[in-house]
Amino acid sequence: MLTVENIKKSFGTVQALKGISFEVNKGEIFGLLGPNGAGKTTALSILTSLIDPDSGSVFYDGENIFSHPAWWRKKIGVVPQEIAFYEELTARDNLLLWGALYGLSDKEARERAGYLLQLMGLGSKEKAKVSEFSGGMKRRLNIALGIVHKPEVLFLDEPTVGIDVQARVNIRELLRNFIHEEMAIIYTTHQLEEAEELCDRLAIMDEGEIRAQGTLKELIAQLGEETEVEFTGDFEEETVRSLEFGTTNVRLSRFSGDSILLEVKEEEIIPDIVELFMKNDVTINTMDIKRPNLETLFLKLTGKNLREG
Amino acid sequence: MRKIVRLAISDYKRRWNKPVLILLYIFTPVVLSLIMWLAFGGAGKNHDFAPLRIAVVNKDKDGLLSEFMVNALNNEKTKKHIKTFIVTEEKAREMINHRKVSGIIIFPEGFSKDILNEKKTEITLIKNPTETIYPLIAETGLDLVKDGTNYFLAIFHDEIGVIRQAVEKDEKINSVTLTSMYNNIGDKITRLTPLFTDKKIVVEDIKKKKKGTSLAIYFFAGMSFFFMFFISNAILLDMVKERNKFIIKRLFLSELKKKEYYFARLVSTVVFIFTIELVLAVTGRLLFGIKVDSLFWLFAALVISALLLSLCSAFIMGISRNEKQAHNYGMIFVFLFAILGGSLIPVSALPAAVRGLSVISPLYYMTESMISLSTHDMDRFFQVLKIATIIAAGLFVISWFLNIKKLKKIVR
Repeated sequence: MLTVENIKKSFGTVQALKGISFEVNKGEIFGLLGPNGAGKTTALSILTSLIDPDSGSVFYDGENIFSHPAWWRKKIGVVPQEIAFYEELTARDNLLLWGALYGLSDKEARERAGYLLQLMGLGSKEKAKVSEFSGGMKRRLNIALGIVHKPEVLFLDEPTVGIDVQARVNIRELLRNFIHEEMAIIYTTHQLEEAEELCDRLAIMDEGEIRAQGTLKELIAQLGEETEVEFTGDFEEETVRSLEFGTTNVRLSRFSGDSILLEVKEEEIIPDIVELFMKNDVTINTMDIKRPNLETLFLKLTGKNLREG
Repeated sequence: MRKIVRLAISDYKRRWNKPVLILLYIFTPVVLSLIMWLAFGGAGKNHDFAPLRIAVVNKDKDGLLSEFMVNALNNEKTKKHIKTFIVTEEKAREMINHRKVSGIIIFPEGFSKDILNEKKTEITLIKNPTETIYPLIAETGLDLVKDGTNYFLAIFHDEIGVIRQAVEKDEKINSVTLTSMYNNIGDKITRLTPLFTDKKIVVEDIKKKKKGTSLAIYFFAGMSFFFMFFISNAILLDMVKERNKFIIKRLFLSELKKKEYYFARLVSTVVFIFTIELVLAVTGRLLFGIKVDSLFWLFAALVISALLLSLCSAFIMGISRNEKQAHNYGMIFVFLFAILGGSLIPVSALPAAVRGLSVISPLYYMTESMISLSTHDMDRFFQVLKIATIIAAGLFVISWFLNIKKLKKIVR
């Protein structure tokens, strides 16, 4: 288990990290969400032992990583936001190079390169120079290089930035299905869908601080927002207002002749509401459920829109 | 070690990624030196110079010796190499002003008489200041004439005495004296022949081998090293570019150490430069007929020059804070070293005050090593190779310190 305790870091007068703490378990994808300047990259640089913190500690399986940086670097894999390999070489050459630099034998490096090329869907392009690759293929190779030595902890810094939707979905599947189980992953992203879909737990960062952390459900519960259910149909105001939903967890928020908006605290009661409408001969054409999401949560916690950063 | 080898191999492979650029770097020095070579008469039948054009002013009227020398300059054999114009001083000066001749040789009044009377005298050489090579050749030739005359006077001192007396008395030398002189001269020549034989053979040998190649090797070696310096800078500039990219952090997040990274980079650069140098050496042999006696020493000289060039570039990268600075410093050093080192202009053509600074240019030693090797001047070759090795060792230590310090700033 990776335990981060009260990490602080300043650059001159700028306080990049004001004391962040979190834990990541093996087999877990932990998301770090935040706009530019939130301190995500500084946090990753410290966690990957590239820079020292001003104070605080990081433990992995009980060992302080700052006391044993060489040991720690063997345990981790890093997939940076930028493309970090030699584009003049082939994908296989890059994998063999990094394999050798991580101390794999020639045989191990060859086997691992072959496996990763297949896993990343680059098998047919193994002899082509990387400069000829598409953006998505380069991103996949970037990830492959981060895991060539089978790390126990993988740091992914916005690994899908700048690529098309299809390639992004492809990488998400890859991370979820093939890599996830083998290691602990710390994942930073601007993509809320990605965070929602991939991360088991999340930390929302802003201005060097973690504003909230937990599972998506826990975070939404912290938000205290309600689910909105919009019905369209042919409604009579008198009938609707006379309906007793049988609980204080439902509130009529808006009414017009052809649509009504209800706020519900628990989604489980939505089937009961539909049943009540049917019993009272209220015709429903459509139903739309609007759940509070990460974006709403992020906006509420930081006052910023994540995409605008 | 495995990591260094793997990184160096990858690095070396990457260098071949732009074959057009590499071909350009090979062809440019070849073409430029070919043009220079042709401009200096390299395209002649036997790769000879175009004839040296000299104006001769003989103020030593009826002088036996000056007459003999003028005739020697103007005979059928020498005409191929020296074109003489026997003119008045006024006409000669007009010719040099119009760049029609490379120099003027003036025999002073009473030249022959002074020599025969063992009085000091001198021949004046006026060099054309707009030319570099030919006046130097004329000067060297005149030195040879001077030395030859002095030897001649020393060896045939007795016979000259007889001639001098006859000239003074304005009388003819009788047949007995002539026969005696003839026999004496014959004896002396016979005695001198074994002494001169070896020397003569060497002279002919050098003539045969050096014929037309000295200028070619001069321009070709100079231009080649000049462009190799460009290449080594371009390769190692990559190291400065990487400092600002994540790729170098990724490298150091592996088990690779900073000194291993730097060493691998240096090795791949040296090997790459050496490869290009080999291609150029073969080109020099085929195109310019440049030959060396020892392939071993050729390889040694190429390895050391590749090392020296790479270390010069590594030094430049070590003192540069960023890519722009490295590029600017690179250009300054390339041109400064090329000009001082004689890669672009012959060192002898540099102003006297600047000429002494050639010793600070590594390109000077590289070019000199190639010239001395191809002209079989092995003493000079070993001398310059030794200096080049010492400079390389010094640069290795300095650039190691500078570059490792820079790398330590990137990752803790």
